[in-house]
Amino acid sequence: MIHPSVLRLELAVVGLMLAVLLGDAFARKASRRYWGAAVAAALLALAGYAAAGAGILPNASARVFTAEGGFLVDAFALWVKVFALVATAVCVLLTSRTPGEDAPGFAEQVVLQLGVGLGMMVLGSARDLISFYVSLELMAIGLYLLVAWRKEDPLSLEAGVKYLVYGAMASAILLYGMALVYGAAGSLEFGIIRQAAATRSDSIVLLAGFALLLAGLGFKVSAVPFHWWTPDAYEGAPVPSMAALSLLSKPAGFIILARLLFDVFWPLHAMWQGPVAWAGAATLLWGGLGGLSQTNLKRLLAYSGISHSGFMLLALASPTRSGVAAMLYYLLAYLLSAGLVFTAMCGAAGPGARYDLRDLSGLGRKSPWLAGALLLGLFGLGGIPPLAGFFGKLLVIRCVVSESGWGFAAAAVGGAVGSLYYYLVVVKAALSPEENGAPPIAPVGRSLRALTAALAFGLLLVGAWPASVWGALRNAAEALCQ
Amino acid sequence: MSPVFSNLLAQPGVALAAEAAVKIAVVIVVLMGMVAYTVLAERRICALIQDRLGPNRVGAFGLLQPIADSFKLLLKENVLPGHVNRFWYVLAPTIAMAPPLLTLAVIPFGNTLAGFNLVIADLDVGVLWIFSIASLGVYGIVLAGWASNSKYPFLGGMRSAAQLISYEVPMGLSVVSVFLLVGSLKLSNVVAYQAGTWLIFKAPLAFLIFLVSAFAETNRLPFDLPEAEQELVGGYNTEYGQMKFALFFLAEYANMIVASALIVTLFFGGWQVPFVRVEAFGPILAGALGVAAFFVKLLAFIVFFIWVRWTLPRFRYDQLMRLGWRVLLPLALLNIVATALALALKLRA
Amino acid sequence: MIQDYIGIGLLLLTAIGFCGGVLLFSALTAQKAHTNPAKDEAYECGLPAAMAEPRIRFSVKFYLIAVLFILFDIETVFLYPWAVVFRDMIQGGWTIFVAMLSFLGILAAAFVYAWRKGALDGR
Repeated sequence: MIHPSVLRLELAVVGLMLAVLLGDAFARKASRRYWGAAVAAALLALAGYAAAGAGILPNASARVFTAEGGFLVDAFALWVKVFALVATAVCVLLTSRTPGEDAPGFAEQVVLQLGVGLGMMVLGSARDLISFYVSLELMAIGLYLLVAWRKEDPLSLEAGVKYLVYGAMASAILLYGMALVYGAAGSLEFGIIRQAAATRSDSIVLLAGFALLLAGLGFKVSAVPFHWWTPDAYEGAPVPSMAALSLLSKPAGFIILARLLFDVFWPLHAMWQGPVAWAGAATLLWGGLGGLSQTNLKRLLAYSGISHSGFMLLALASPTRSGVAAMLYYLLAYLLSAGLVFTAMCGAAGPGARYDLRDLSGLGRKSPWLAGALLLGLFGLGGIPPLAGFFGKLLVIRCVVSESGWGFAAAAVGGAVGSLYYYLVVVKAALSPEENGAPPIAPVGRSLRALTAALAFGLLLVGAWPASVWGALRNAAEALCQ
Repeated sequence: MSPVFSNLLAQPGVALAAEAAVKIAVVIVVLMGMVAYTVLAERRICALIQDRLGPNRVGAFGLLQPIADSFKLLLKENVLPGHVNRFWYVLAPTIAMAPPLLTLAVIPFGNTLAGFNLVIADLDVGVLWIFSIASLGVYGIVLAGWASNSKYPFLGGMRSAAQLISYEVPMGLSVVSVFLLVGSLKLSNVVAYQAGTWLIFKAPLAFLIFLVSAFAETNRLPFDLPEAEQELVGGYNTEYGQMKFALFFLAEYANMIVASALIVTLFFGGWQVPFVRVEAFGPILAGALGVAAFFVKLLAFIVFFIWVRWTLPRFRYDQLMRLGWRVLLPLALLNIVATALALALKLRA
Repeated sequence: MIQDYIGIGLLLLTAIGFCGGVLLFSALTAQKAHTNPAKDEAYECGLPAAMAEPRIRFSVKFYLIAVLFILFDIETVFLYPWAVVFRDMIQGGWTIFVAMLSFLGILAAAFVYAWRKGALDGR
């Protein structure tokens, strides 16, 4: 049986999708000016409702099942839903800035982004392999389209094709891993798979399936050695789609990774800890060093994203509740700071801009508002105190020191320094005097100002006063590691 | 009968296979005869409607005409045009002809006769079988259009494919209301359900949608755009000759007969004899009467198909698409919801 | 039942045998083809066959129709098992009706969208 009341948040998003779709079919062009803001407001209201428990969970340690045990709501899942709703709201607002409400395909883009967000919401609640796979594909299919959205731009098409081919391959690997796990455990349900992992940890089939699952998810979070698609996909994708890739798809990968590592395959934690830590360190260094020679902001942000993935993998490699909580905190900091950078990018150039670093020249003079947002976001990503990024890196490195050892901690610091250097290169470019050929910028609209202010406020609040979110994150981690 | 043979026959699988083989032989022979004489009937009825005589020279009333035609086609020059893709060109008519033969497997053409079920294979998923196999027919047509490597067949093939898939949807949806009422996909159950009232009286809208879609699926007028002679020459089979052409021709008429048989089975009680309790006549006569009733209904529908062809003009392509997607599809969906609602209210009352 | 498929298998063999047999037999009885260059050309109503490439580009609407077909055909496939169990399950409550109604509703919204966007025009 399915209890619709447990699915109320997801159903609300489905309703929103249908409303936008039908609205696009019937509404007049002129009435679309406030659609982006309206959808984002609805999403934020839902996020607030979810943060307050959404009337589903009586207390933080409760677990509510539905759909024959395939869908679980606990504190962890609820936190994922809050995150997904906020991130989707950011993406929708960015979309309403580029390409603009009156451009063809605006409503479709919003619908697809809502679908990607919906996928992440369901993924947080996935309790069997079916809902896991279906929600992951729901995200992926929307993203394939969003990455290739500017179909008149060969770069965007190239990005779309690369993402599609890599994604399909990763999906196949994942599916094969699921088949093996199902074969070994005899059930699709996470609870039974966990029992099988506890009792038959020597089963080659189960271990091979687990390894394939990790490889497939490695693609989603662009972990070394599955990261090759990232710079090309980021470079070609329009900025809102790039935001959806890094604010929705990647966090979703970490969420389900946390669910698999800390819940389903927890009995094998002695086995996965080492490989995850090594992958994390390699990812971190690759991202930190690879970005040094980039001259394009989008590619640079892709490498920055890889390096952040390394940090979060290192957090997951410490098999404690603090590790999970640190990862969740890091994700939140990443959402806020990367969201600021994307917002600044949307404001600083029209659709189709290449975002070469020298195009940013003179931004500080042309629009102090945008330059400030860019600065703040990059400092957040780089981990300058008192922004949230600093505290996130601190938490992760503390976990790494106590669980993985000083070598990994040194790698983490090295990678962080490398990425900080190239963030500063961007800052220098933005503050340098204007060169010839830098594109003019449009005036910054109200919704974009509001978004910038909200993200900046969140970044400062979470960084300077971590206790404001720490309780909720701790509860989510507790709920996951039972 | 030699002991070896009777022992062999005693194996359950072998006995079933032998029974099936006999039925298949009968069905194929009857179908081919019907196809041949449907062509003749079409020409004679057409002539009647147009106030002409039609073919009446070969045999009495032209009854030997189909045989003469088939000999003519057999003896024609076997041309394989130089520009075609040979393998696919020869394969296409085979793919077009096989589906109507295969769909016949699940249609019950009578109740029982001398203890045998009068159906080749009474599958639990009978209707799914019909739709899945019938939809394969489009491959033969697309392939013919493509392999001919010539413009008219190509356009005909594309149109044909678009038309076939467009009308498959309302056709498939219209029968859902039948299965709501019957509660089974098995065609023998559908016929048994109609012992009292035929389904046309319970699901008239479904029948109407199914009928219109059946005309489109069989490429008959008023939906014969794929082979609109005036603009596309012969459509997808322009470059075909001899028996390869004949197979397409046979396939079209076989499709029409299968569609009629399906309509009779789904909506007109199949082999049920109306108003008469045939069981009273004893098993043999009752079975024979059932078969007779099925064939009478079938023939009536074939005549109806022919009659419509020579009465109605052809649709334009956009009209055809509009009818399929904007009228029949929403109607079929509404019909499903309405039927389900009515059934639910009735069952829960 | 698996026995039912004995008949299906035999019929499949018969159908393939019939089509193949007809083609083979006709190849034996037919006259040998008397080819000449004109006969080998594609049929073009008297225009020179070299007028244009036959495998032309054609309207993308065909793809749209094909995609819509897949959408609604899959919907149909979902409806069949639902229709079969409807009689039994409606006794237990309205869930089965509401479930399918919401499924149809979402598809109907997509259908209305496609309609308004002109995907159904077929030209």
